[in-house]
Amino acid sequence: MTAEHDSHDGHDGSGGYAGTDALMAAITGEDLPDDARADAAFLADHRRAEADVTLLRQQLRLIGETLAADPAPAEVPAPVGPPRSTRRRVRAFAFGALATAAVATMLTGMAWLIAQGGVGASSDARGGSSDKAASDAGSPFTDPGYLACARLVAEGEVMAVEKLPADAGRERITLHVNRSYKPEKAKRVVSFLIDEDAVLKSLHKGDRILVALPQHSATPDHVLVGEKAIARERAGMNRALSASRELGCD
Amino acid sequence: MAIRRPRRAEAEADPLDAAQADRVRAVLALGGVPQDDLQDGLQQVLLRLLERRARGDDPPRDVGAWAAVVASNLAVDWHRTRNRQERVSARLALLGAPDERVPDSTENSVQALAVAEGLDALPAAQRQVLVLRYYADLSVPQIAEQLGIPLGTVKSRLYAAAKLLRERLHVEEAV
Repeated sequence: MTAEHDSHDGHDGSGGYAGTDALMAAITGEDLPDDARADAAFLADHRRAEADVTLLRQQLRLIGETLAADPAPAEVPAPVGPPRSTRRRVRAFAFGALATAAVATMLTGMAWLIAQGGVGASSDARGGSSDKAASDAGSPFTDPGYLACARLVAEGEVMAVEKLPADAGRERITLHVNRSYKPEKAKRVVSFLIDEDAVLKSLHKGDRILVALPQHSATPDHVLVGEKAIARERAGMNRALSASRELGCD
Repeated sequence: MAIRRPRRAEAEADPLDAAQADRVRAVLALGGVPQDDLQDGLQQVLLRLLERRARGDDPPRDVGAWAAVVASNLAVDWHRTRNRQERVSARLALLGAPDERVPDSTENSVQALAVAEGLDALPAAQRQVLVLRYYADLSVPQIAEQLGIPLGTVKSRLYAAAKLLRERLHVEEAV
């Protein structure tokens, strides 16, 4: 073995046998030595390694077929989502509200204020009008129409922010998901690309965010920053999610 | 009188079928060959196959595997000589999420991006063996034979590449 490989002679604390470890065994597909087969911990590592190799194979196939099939687009394709009028209204809300709340956002860490009543405006109104009120307020997180077409709505803590040197103006955000609203069970860690100017306040490790990704996109079109702002959305968002399940998405 | 249908001349047959051609393009793309150069790369692979025939060499035992290796070598050379490699992750991000009919397509697209970024971070030699093993499905001995490098070198490169990509795929292991 060359220096690139952490070879192990015999059984050691790292779980290697006869100069190989679980990952190497999974890579080569060679039969495991008898003493490795008797080691439950090694077998568990080996199963995990084999699962990872299978996943790697699947993803390479997906990537290769995607890249080989698609002609170079002239521009970034627009993601498919709710009807255009709704989408424009949602986007207009997001950016218009951001503009008017710029100073407050910078100071408090909130990404936007709900237009109708400023901070704390109710999406907690009782009775059947709450969804209508929330929708009228324009918050996408409380809009059943928007949520019906969202692929991921989740909140959590930013674990990492990486600038992409080859993709100027974009960052890769790694999020530790504390709560997933849609789907109900998402992976514990997700990552996505974001335009640096998509949020008024740059994201940093440790930021608490609520994020929504539309269908057919790995880039969110709504990000809410700060626990207080997220807390104000939760009740309305849960109601809107229930309503969104009755809606289709064209 | 029986009419014999003449056998199609071997030289007239398509050197690669459609599926093999797609795989060549995929190997080139995974190797970082820019999108608008994929067709050119495919033509180079076809040309080498035709040259082989013209020399009277025996055809490859496995044309698809042979073509994948040639394509992977082209990708490595592309990177070395032209110094213009397309980041797979940037291209994939522009294309957005895959088919909505695929369950958990958001999770798939996130994982695909993670793998793509891992590919972009790999040295060319590791990337080549990884693509040949896990996209083109060549065995480790086949890769060693086709690239003319020792078996141990193939294993080492695969191990290093797989280890890095594993880390990219499972960030939560550190949580």
